[in-house]
Amino acid sequence: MPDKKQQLQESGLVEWPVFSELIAMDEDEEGFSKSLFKTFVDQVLETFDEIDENLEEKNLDKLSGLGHYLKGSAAALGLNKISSQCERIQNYGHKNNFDNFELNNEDIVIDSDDYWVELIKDALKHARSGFDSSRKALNDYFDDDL
Amino acid sequence: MNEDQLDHLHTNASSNQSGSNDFVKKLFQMLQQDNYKNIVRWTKNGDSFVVIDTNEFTKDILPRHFKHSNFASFVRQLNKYDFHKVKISNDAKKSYEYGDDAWEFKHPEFRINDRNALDNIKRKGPNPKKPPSSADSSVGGANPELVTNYKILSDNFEYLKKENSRINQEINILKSKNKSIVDNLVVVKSLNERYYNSITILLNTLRQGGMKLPHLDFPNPNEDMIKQPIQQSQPVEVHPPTSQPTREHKRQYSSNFTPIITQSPQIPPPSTSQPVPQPSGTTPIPANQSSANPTFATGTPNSNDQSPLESPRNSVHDLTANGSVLSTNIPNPKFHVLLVEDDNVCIQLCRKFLVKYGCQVTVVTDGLNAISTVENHKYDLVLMDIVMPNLDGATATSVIRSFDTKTPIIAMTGNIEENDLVTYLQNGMSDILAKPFTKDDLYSILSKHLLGNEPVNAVGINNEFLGEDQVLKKQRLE
Repeated sequence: MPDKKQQLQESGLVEWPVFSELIAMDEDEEGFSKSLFKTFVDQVLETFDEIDENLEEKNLDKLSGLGHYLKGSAAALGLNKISSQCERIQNYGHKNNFDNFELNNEDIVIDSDDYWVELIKDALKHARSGFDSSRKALNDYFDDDL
Repeated sequence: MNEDQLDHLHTNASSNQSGSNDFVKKLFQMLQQDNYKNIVRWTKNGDSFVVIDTNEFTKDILPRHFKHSNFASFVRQLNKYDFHKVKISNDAKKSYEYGDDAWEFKHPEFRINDRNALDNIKRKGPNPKKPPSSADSSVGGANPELVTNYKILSDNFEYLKKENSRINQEINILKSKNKSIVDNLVVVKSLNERYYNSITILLNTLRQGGMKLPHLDFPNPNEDMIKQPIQQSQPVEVHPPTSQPTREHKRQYSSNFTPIITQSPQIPPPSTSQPVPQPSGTTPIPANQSSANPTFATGTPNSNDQSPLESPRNSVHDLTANGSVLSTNIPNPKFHVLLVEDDNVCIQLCRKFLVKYGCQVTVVTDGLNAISTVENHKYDLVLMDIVMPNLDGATATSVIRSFDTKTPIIAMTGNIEENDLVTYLQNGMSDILAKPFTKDDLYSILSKHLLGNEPVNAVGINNEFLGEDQVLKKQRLE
């Protein structure tokens, strides 16, 4: 177990202070942290699907809401690689390019709905990869398939 | 009546004797002095006087002789004594010797060196002949364009003033409408839930009586309105067999962690297919864990040594030491906390923290539920998320504040920009807990608002937060 702990910590995918607080809760209730991450994984999969659907419909407001929603859970679990991308989705959905992201696609008019959809797609791509690697690391840690 | 008073009251006709004309005498006196001739003087003929430099006149001479520096009121007063502005036609203007900006006034009895005639100048009676014409005569001949502009402006101003008050009225109407709509929604919602529960009972009775029931479109009012996977914490959990189990349910039942089920005796175990009717549909589930003693003071300190957890555990320990004080000062040692949050992960985590600190926890997942729940139960503290389905936390709080001003309501939010914070406080939030928060953060808020009236307990923490408290109070005042 200490090895696994170290491994997860070194992956840099989770904020360690937050995570250690979570697993300390297992002392009162065995499997608490794991179930929490399981809940999160389900929530992410579902929300990603919903984001995809709303990208199709270019429903920016809804996308922003979904970004905000997932940002909260990811941040609560110390999964900052995911929460930071969700924050991007939240802001782009409100047509706010808060991090001055440059889209390398000259066919798309800046500030058009398509432009924001493209920015969100970029953030979603990163969120997905952050999620995949975090999930893998957590699977290793919990020795289970979340 | 002395001159000072007269001057100050010169616009007030009722305070003035109609015969007295001190103003005119002072005016005469002033004009007899030669040293003002570049500013104000008799005209050549001596039958009128002219203010050549209105700026200097207003700045220097008015204060000296009339104890004010308001040219307009000087002109008004002249009008009251039936002086008239001499109109200079546009043609005459070119050759007018006193310049474009000069104001020439005339009264038939007001002549140079003729002091006796002054007595014939009387203040006009309080018959407001023609307010528009008095405006005309004060600015009339100056510049027709200016007059028109002035009129347009003043019309616009009047219009805007009316518009503004109309809009304000409308806002107030909308506000009260909004409030009654929200109130009605809450009522309708709880009614709906009661119907739902009654029908559930009815269905189960029928089923137990061996009736075969058709497939019914029978949505749970709590689940129907919310799309997100948060229904586990909804007060009403039982589905009649006729309705399809939702995805959330499958997940909940398959997951190892089934908080509601383990924590609420009202909920049937997942394995049982026979649903138990729930008459208490509007009653949220107290997620009080049996393993934790439900008092703040006895939150179990454990022996793990990880540093991030060090301080809350110590604090809890402090409280344990002062446990007797706690129980004497608080009649009911259970702190009952209402958690209003739509995110399942946050719910589980926050509830866990709260239970660990010995609080009894009730969870609802939207603003409307929060309102009806606070209406029906007394809570020691409410933790309120902002962004939620149905009704946001800020609005819910302002509605709650219309009937409950005391219960501390803490905004849990990721938006910690100053404007947002001020808005939350204006909505009646007692404090703010920035998301994501640690156990320590939560503990600080709890101790501040639940133990704040007990200086014996957790002194350090109370002092530490005094500063912030004052800052928040200040913000609220602003």
